[in-house]
Amino acid sequence: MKIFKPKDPTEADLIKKAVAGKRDAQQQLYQRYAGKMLAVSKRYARTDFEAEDILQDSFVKVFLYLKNFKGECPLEFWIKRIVINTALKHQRANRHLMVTEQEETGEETAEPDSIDSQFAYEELLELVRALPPRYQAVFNLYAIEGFSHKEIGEMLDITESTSKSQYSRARASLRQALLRLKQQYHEKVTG
Amino acid sequence: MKKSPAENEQGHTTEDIFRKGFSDAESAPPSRIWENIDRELENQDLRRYRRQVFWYRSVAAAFLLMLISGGILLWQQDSTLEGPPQNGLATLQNRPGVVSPEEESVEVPAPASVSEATEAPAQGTSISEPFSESKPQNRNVSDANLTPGKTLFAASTKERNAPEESFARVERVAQQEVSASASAALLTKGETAENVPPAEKEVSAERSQALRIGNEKQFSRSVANSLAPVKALPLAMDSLKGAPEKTILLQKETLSAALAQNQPAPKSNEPKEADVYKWSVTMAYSPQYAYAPVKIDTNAPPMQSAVAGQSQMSQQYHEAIEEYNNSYSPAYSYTALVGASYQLNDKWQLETGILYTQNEAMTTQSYVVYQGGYAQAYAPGNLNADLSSGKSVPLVSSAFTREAAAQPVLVNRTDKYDIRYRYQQVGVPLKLAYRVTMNKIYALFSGGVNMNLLMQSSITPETEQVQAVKYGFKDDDSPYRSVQWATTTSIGVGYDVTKKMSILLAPEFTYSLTPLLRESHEQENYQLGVSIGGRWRLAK
Repeated sequence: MKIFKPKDPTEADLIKKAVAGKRDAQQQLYQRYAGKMLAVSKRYARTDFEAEDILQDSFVKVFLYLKNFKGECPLEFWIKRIVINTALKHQRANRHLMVTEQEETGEETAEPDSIDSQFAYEELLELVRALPPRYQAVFNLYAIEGFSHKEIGEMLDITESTSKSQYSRARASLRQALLRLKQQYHEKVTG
Repeated sequence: MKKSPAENEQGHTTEDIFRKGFSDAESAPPSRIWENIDRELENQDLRRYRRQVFWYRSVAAAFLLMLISGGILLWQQDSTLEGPPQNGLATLQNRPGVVSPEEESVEVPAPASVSEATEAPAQGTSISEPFSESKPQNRNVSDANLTPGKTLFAASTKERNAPEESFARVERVAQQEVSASASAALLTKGETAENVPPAEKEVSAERSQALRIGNEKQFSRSVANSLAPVKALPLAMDSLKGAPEKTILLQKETLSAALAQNQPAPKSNEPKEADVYKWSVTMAYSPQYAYAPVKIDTNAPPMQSAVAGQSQMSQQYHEAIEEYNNSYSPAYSYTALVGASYQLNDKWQLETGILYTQNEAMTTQSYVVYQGGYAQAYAPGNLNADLSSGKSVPLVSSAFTREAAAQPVLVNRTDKYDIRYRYQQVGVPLKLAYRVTMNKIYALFSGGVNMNLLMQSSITPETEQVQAVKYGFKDDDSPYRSVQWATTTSIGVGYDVTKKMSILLAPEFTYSLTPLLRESHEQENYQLGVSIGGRWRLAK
């Protein structure tokens, strides 16, 4: 006995319908990518509420400008780029940066040993969110998204060296935090 | 995405930890985010739609304005060409010595003082003589209370009563004697001599002298001017042979007879005008494609409140709405018109009448929606439900009824069935039409507005499970607007079968200016039809 299942619409079909303004197609696209994109926006936001705002604004932009999507890259990357840009825009609009460029020219901290522990997603997220806003953005853009310092400088309107400096400080701060976290684990395990 | 430069660095495990930790991370977004996105997109659509509607309406209004303006312009041009000549001087040259009532209103200010200036002061003296004699014989003269404006008119009338050589003389000197006419005007306005330039004073002095010769203290300047035509009156009177002088009545009759004799010959096209049928009756039938979808928002009231919290029910209701929206298809629709048209001239006509419109549409559904008490009884957990009673309501009714938001909704899947929607309207069209005639064939371009009253609307499901709904005119429960406005444009070709009857075939486009629904669901409604009709000319 054959069981016929309705064929899932392809992403191209969904895009086509979403561009035509079909709300159900837009909703399906949203459901496909909203979870991943919320995780991205949480890395750039200070709170979950802000992350949700970023996600909402991003998807409104996605559907308004979807007609401009040429398919030159996967749709997920295209949406992710919109989410990141929206997050940076939120950061510029809502946050007074506490760290100035002059303060960022200091020496980099020495690198401790590598860390081989497993950390939970929420713990890592907390550590990133604990960074100063600009450090948080630079670290995300360089270490996670893979942008170069030159690109980051253009995106954040800072110099390449400032981006490097901020990244170095952010990385050092996170390493210290990871070590502390690892120490806490060790103390819990050993009693 | 390209590889991170950090990945190329050796021993930097911090990045690895975070990259690994975030790589497949997902967070379930709360449902309100999509609702907000949906609302925002809806607003964007609405804004875009409003811009489009504004543009459409502007174009329609501009088109109507152009049509009306063009019509008025052409009408005026036609009237000017067909009407009697308005140049008093040219007309009078053909009819010397006669003053018709129409001509009395024609003002020719310049020659008034011109003749006085060119004629010697002695003539001015002679002017005073016939005043008292001819006064009773002249209707103009009898009116002693003439205004300054009438004074000029009277002076001009004097010249119009003069023989042809007088007119020729007037033409010759008209350009030279502008200052003289100006001084005459000053005199009639009662200005003092001190304010008049020396050159004009001379002419004014002549006039004053002429008036003084009359030797009547109470004889005002305006009266003097009003009496000026009298000097030409004897010439006019010459044509009134045998006019008795004793009774005014007989004089009037004689004058009328003289006027009748001197009426201009009727123009050659006047008999044709008499043959034009101004009024005609029009009857037309127009099968049409009427696109008037009533789309339901997926966030319609029952969706937001009554179904909230029941995810499966909500999903089914959503599917039912999607199915309804996607399955809409217009059915056979038509309009019937009984109208009257009034021919403004040989090209333009105004049309109105009574227009009956019946628009139909169909949807296909595979869900039934229960609402209110029955839905509560049917709801899961209610063991005392009596499922034998109660019918489903059409989706449109449940979505747009005001009470719907407060009532629970139950959705069930069933076999597919059709629902027929019928809208019956009675309206009054008002159209301006332009006709281009080529022998017996003519083209008719028309545009105007329709005001339609939705007399009845019905929703008839072709299943026993769903109840039929009918709304009357101004029904409070009806989700539709009672009064609707639309613009209509048509281009047609007609054929004059006989002198009094013609047939017309005209594709027409009607665009609704008001949405069908009472709520602010601005949706595009239009009708495309082909009007087949006849026209019978009734009255001249």
